Parts: sequence; structure tokens; C-alpha cells
Amino acid sequence: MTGKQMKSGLRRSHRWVGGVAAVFILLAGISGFLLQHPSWLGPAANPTLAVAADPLVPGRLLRGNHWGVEESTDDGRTWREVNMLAAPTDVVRVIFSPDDPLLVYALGRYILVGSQDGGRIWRDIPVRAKGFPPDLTYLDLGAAPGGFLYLLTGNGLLAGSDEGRSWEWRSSPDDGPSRDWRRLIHDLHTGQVLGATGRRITDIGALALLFITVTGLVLLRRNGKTFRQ
Amino acid sequence: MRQPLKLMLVATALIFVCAVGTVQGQDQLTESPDGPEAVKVYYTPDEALAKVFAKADSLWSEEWTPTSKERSELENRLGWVVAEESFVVHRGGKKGQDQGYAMIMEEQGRFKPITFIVKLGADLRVEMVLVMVYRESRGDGVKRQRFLKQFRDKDGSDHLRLNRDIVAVSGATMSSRALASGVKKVLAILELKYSPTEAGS
Repeated sequence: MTGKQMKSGLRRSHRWVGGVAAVFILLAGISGFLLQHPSWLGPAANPTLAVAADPLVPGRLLRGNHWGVEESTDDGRTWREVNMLAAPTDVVRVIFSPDDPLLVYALGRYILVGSQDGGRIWRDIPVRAKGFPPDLTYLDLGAAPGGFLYLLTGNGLLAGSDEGRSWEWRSSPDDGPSRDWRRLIHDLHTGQVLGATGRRITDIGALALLFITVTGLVLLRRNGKTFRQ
Repeated sequence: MRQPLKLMLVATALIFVCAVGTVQGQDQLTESPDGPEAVKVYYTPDEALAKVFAKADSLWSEEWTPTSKERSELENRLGWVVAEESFVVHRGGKKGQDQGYAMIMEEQGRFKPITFIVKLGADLRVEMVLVMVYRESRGDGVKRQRFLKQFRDKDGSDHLRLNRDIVAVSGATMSSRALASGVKKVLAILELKYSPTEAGS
């Protein structure tokens, strides 16, 4: 094989590999752009994330979903939204206290709320403990007799006493990884690392990538003339 | 050709360093989540009232202490505990004409309270919301009218649910929640106190 043939083969394969790579760039650009603007995708699916049965009222259930808490009084056949001034989102646990069945808790991703009347009037239950990181996410909640609560977070386990009036770490927040690399990579990908300005820059970058990829594909269809120039 | 390449490498390295710095900054905040208070005052009460009642020629305030029945009614409407003993309602008039109502509220954000003013017209619909004091180190995107404009024309029948009726500011979910619940609370309070249908019932 002569040098000229090798060069030509390399050029051809470069063109086609470039074309395939362009498809991935298109996908990454479009999906990255949509990641930045989730509202464009319309309302999100709202699956049930948690359910709890009222120990006092047969057939009464509370369930948690992405938008808050819903109530059924006919054994789960129909549901209506529970009225709350500031409903938590992504409710992953609804739980009745083993001490007092009128005490009910609903755990959202960042918020814990409770009701002392079975779920009619609610209030925030602030979770504060030493070493409480600013972006702590809540994962699960357990209630034990004696007014004890156990809150599993992204950084460890918190134990609450007196129905959540005071909290302390059971496993240290320092036990987990000190640096959230996944989040860092996500923030780099979406530009969120530089805040709102970064997101705008990433939008422009994604649009520029899409533009050069599409124009590149159009040029590729023209027998790859650009590659020979 | 090498110059742009160098520039690109330097820019990539800078972005990476910033990103690592941000994550390390979060680690430092772990020591004290409330952090040093970063108070940003955008409006004093007088400035906020002057802005929301720009057309009024007279301003006055009324204090309302709900009875236990009214408090219970308010809590039922909101599905939420109402901790305040009483509420101060600012009112304005122009040549005897009602210019509406305004309330200065304080709602808990992620760690610290956010102070804001909600102005309703005489028809009890939201006309303006302004963030007066923001105390947390981040999330102050809620002060922008791009977010606050969403509350305009809402009344007591609107749910103001986050991410359904009101789109939260990205990265400031808790602050957005505080504002949405504060506005909803104001609508419920003023409707209970001043709505003609409520007064007649």
C-alpha cells in the first residue's frame, strides 16, 4: 500500500468516523440542552413513592409522590391531594407514629413535615444538627416508640428525639465521600458550576455544537469536499 | 493554530479549578451550614411600601388578630399551622379610592428567613411581590422579577404549588417554596379578612 492510498483510506475512515461521532454529539447536545430546561418536556410522570395506612381509620391511606401527599378514604380506589401550604416534593416516606396514630410524618427530598391531627393541618419539622451540610438530601424515615425518629440522609443517619425537636448524627457526615464527584461532573456538563451565567454559556455552547455538527453532516453529504480542501 | 489550542486548554483548566473550588467551598460550609450571615437588603420597609403603593396619596396600617375560630379557618384553608399571633396589613388610598393591600412577610428559606412584600389590588389579586431582605449565601435568584412575576394576578383560589403552578428557580428550591407559601398565606389571610363574601358569611 502506497503512502497516497494510506492517506486516502485514512481520510475516508476519518470522514465516516466523524459522521458517526457527530450523531453522538447531536445526542449529547440535545439532551444536555433539555437537561437545562426540563419544563420544556412537559409534566413529569408522578409515580407513587410511598404509602401508609391510617391505623385509626380503616380504608384511609396516605401516599407520597413527586408532587406531595395524597389521601384515599376508600381503600386506595380514589385519591385526592392533601391540602398543604408548602407541600414537600418527592415524598419518599409517609409514616404514622407508633406512639400516637394521629401523628403522621411525610418526608420529601429536602423537607420533613408532620401533622398532629392525622394529616389535616401540617407543619415543617426543621432538621438541624452539627455538621449539617447545605445540600443535604433526605432518603428515608423511621419512627420508633418514645417519639424517636431516624432520618437517613445522603450524608449519614440522623436520630431525632422528642418528635423531631432535636437531632444528632448517628453516623458521622464525614463518613461519606468528602467530595461529590458525580455532582461536579454533572455541574460541569450543564454549566451549573458557574451558576446561571454558566448555564447560559453552556446553552450557547450546545447550540454552537449542534450548528457545527449539522452543517458538518450537510457538508459530508456533499462527497466530503471539505475534507479534501 | 497553537494559540487557540493553548487558550482552550487554559479555559478548560480554569473551569475545572472553579468547579473543584465550588465543591471544596461546600465542604467548608459543612462546618456551619448557616454560615456567616450574608444579608442583602434590597428594600427597607419604607422603600418597599413606597414602591408597591407608588400611586397612593395616603398610607395606613391595620393590625388584625384573628379569633380562635378565624385562626382555625385559616389553618384549614392552608392545611398548615399558622404561628403568627397577629398580622399587619398595610393599605393605601388615592382620593378616597382603595389602592389595595400589602403585607410584609418573613418565611423560612433553607436556613434563614426571607423577608418580602406582597401587594394585592383592591380585587384581592396579587399585583406585585418584592424580595426585601435575603440572608442566605446562595439562592437569591428568587429576587428576580422573572420568578416573582409568576405570582401576578393570582388570587385565593390559586394553589401556587411549586413546579406545577409556580416554576421554582433552579438551585433555589427552598427559597422558591418559601416565597410561594408566603404569597399563598397572604392571599388566604387577606381573603379571610377583607373578602366581601367572607364578611357576609
